Formats: sequence, structure tokens, C-alpha cells
Amino acid sequence: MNGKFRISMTWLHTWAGLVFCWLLYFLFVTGTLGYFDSEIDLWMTPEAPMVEATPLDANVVVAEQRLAEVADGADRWFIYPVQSREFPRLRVYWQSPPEVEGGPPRYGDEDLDAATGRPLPGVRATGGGQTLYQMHYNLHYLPGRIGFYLVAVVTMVMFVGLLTGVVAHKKIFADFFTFRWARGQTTWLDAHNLLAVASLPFQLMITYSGLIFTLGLFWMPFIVLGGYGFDTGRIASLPEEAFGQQVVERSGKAAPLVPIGPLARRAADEWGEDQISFIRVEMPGDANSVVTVQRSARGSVFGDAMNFDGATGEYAGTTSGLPNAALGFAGALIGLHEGLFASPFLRWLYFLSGVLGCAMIATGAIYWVQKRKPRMAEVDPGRGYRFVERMNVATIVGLPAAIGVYFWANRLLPVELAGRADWEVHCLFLAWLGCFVHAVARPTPRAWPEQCAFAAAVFLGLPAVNWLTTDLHLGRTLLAGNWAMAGVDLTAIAAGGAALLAAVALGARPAGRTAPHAATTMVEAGVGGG
Amino acid sequence: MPIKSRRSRWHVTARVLVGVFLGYLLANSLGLFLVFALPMDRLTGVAFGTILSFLVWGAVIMWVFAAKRLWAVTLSLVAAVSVTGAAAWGLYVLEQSS
Repeated sequence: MNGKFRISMTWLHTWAGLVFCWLLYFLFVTGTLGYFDSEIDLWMTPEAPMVEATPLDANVVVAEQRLAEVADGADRWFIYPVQSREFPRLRVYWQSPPEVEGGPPRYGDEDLDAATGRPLPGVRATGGGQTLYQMHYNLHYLPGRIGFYLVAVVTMVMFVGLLTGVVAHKKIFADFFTFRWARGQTTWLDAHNLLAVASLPFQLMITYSGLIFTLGLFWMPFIVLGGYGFDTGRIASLPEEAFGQQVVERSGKAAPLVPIGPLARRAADEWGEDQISFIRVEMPGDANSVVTVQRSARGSVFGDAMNFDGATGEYAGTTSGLPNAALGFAGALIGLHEGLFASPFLRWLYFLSGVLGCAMIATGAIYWVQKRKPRMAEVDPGRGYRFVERMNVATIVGLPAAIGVYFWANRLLPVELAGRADWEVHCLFLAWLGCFVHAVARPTPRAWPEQCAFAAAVFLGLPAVNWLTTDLHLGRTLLAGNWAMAGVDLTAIAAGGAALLAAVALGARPAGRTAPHAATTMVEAGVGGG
Repeated sequence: MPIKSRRSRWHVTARVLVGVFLGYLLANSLGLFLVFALPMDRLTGVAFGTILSFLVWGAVIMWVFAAKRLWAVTLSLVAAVSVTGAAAWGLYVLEQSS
């Protein structure tokens, strides 16, 4: 590769990276925690009973009874039987017709006791792991689709950043084996390279699949629209064409729904007991009603679906989850992105790769500052430099600490507080705002160890707060094999320990030096409590 | 090239605009052209074109920033968008008439 090309690509990498690095870091931290969204959900609803595995048939029977009670006349029912991770509880959803013509449809959902079919006792209102996970594509406070579009832009920048980053290297393979310790900016560059090269396949996969997610459907409209000659009617029927989803119209003639249990049983006999993802009933109680049993899509987002006539129970064919090779590829990529069906080991690997990504972004941002650090203390490095330096502290350390505060808020906010779930999130962002104020108010060499100490206190304190507010302390959860509970506490201890080490190492250095090397440890391990 | 002078600031802004917008247009027009040109069913073609379009967009952005003369790249991109767009339209008309 010729030198000029590399220089221009390095320039693009540096500046595109700098402008978007904090937002990217936010996406990576919240997205990485999203790999444990269901576990965080469980941690955040400690009063809910631990659910034992229950047989599929019993699940479906009680769910159907309950839906007939609460959602008679709904357009659509969904039954999610108890499954390993994503749906640890029996859950039903329904969609009712709009109250006024043309209005929005109404939705309802309930968690059920799989033995009795009664709704589970209420749990505290919480944002849980889902809100945290959703932040990485909706940016929480932004109205409508704005956050989504912004994320799309950032994802494209990330993609260009990865491509230009590869070009910027002289020797990408040798860099993997190069780490020069305690050499100031060189160390930061080595760390940045090492982290990037080690996780490059993951970064490329996550970014490209992210693009297909965010942009594929919304931002490349000409290909989809034009491909069908801008025929909107045809496009509206695409989901049906692609995934065999039938659009069911109400006939107006009533016909009692057949028992769903035997239909689910038939699918389970063919695919296997643990292969049922959910059961959908279109227009229950109508003569046209259709029952669809959806198969889990291992490694992809699309699974096969078995259809039945809801009025007669007659088998109506199976639609394939793999309509064509290209959609199969897109589906596989999206499946990889979400890691929905990852085993616990693979899930931790995902998490670790995400952490490497966070650390890669953080070291890149710190390297920018280190490289431009004035050689003499009396030289003014300029406004831009000071801005970046402060943003770095408040984002790299402040954000994980603020997420720790979100976990505290889940335990400490009064259960009867109105808008409790919202207040949990407000606590996160208020704490983060505090970190920004602190980073501006304090000289940066002091701000680093102080915020690390704050993060250490938040994370090391979390298991104690959990112990005091629930009876589910580590001693009990570990013995009971309650890994969701114990995992969050243990991860918090690990993150807090790393932050403490960083705080001690950074605090011990003479003032006047910014962001010393020990922060690497903090960056690598201190990204959150999931 | 550090952004020092006002002129180089404009320079950077121009490249960002050309790379992002013309790159986006080319990603779409080329993708659409492939939809009609490749011997695939429509759904496969659309999915394939969409998946490929991001590579095209990324490559254009890199090219715009690597090129010495911005106007030359801009002209080439406008030409490429026109040609692929016209070809896609031509293939579409042909398909409709047959």
C-alpha cells in the first residue's frame, strides 16, 4: 500500500474516530451489557420466584385459558412457553383492535405461573436489562426515530473507522505481537492496535450486521423501492413473501378456537421439545383464524413455522425460515449480532469481545490526547485538547460508573414511586452528568483517579446494597446456582476491583501527568456491571 | 493534514459531503442496478444489493479522502451514479415491456 494512501486513511481514521468516539463508546458499553439483558432483568426483579422448567403442553394449556379470559376478541395472541434464557417465565402477549378506527392497536402482556396459569405477583417497575440494551440503538431520551438514525450514522463511521484502521497499519500482523509497556503515547497506540487486531473479526461482524440492522431497511430505500418499481402495494406484502407470514383477515363468522396444545405437541414431536420459540394465534375465535408454531432459529433470526387452521386444527403447511441465500446471510449476520442462542460460554465470549471493543475505542481516544500532550507544562495545549481530555474522563470512567448507579437505583428507589422505571434511568444520566461536571471542575490528572475511585465504590458497593435490600446475597445465590443473580454481583466485584486498582495506580502518580498507563487495566475491565 | 487554515476546513467539509452523499447515491444506484442485472429472483437481488451497498459506500468515502483532486472524484462519482442509475432504469423498462 502506498504511503500517501495510508497517510490520508490515517487522517480519516483519526478525525472520524475522534468526533464519534464517545458516542461509539456509549453504544459499545450498553450493547455489550445487552448480551446479558435477560440476566440483568432477573437481577432487577429479585422478588419474582425462580421458575422451574415446566412441560410445554401444560404451559400452552394454561396460557390459552388465561388468554381466553383476558384477551377475548383480540386480533393476535402470542404464547411464549418457559425456555432456557430469553423467556425464563411463561409469558403471553396480545394485540387488540384499536379503540377508534385508524387508531393505534392496543397491547397487553402478562407473566404467568406455569403451574396455575394465574398472573405472577407484581414485581417492581424497572427498566431492567432491556432498557439498558435498547439504549444502544435508541439512545433513550431522543424522540421518535432520531436516536435510531444517529446510531445508523455512527455505525457507518465505525465501519469506515475499521476499514481505514486496517489500512493505517504498516504491519497488521506484527502489531499483534508488539506491546511496549510504560512508554507514554507509544504504549497507548500499541494497546489500541492490540485490542483492535485481537477483536477485528468481531468488530467487523458486529458493525456490518449493525449496518444491515439500522440502515438496511431504512436507509437504502431505493434498492428495495426501486427493485419493485416503486410499487408500494407490492412492498407491503414483502414480509409475507419473504417469511411466509400470512395476512389474516377477520371473516366476521365466529368459530371456536381448537385447543392449541395438540398443535404445539405435533410441532414439538417433529422438531424437538426445546425447539418451540412461540405460538401465534391470528384472529382467535374467528372462522379464518390461523395458529402458527414458530421454531427457534438457532444461529439465525428466522426459524421455520408450522401453520394450522385455527377453527379446524387442520395442518396448513410449514413455511421455511430460509427464503433465500441472501436473506439467509442477512439473517445469520443479525443472529450473530444478537447472539440470542449463544451458550453461556459463547455469551461470555461475546461479552468479552464487546469489552475489547470498548477498550479499543477508549485507548484510541486516550492516544489522541497523549500524542498531542505538550512537552512542557507551561505550553497551553488549546481548548480542543482540554475538551477531549475531559470528555475522555467523564465518558471512559464516568459512563460505567453511572451504569453502576442505575443498578443501585433499582434497589434503592422506593417501590411505590410513580414512574419508577424512568427514575432508574434518570439516576443513570444524572450520575453521568455529575461525572461531566466533575471532569470540568477538576484538573484532569486528578479527575482520572477520583472518578476511578467513584466507580470502584459504586461497583464494590453493589453486592452489599443487594445484600441489604434483598435476602439474595452471594452466599445464597451461589449455593442455589442462581447464576443471573450471582453473575451480576461477581461482575460488579470484578469491575470494582479493576477500578480500584486503576484509582490507586493513577492516584500514586505525581500530578501534572495525564491519563497514565494504569488506566488500561481500568479500561479493559471496568466497563460495567453486567 | 491537520485542520489549520480556513481553506483546509472547507476542503474537509467538501470531502465529507461528497463522500457521504455521492457515496450514498452510488451505493443505492449500483445496488439497484445489480437487482435488475443479476439473474436472481427479485427478493434475493434486493437483499443482496442491500447487503453489498455498505461496502460500496465505505469504499467511496475512503476513495474521496484518498484522492488528490476532489473535483476529479466528484465527476467520476456523478458519472458512475448516472450510468448505473440509467442502466437500472433501462433494465426496469425493458423488464416491464417484455
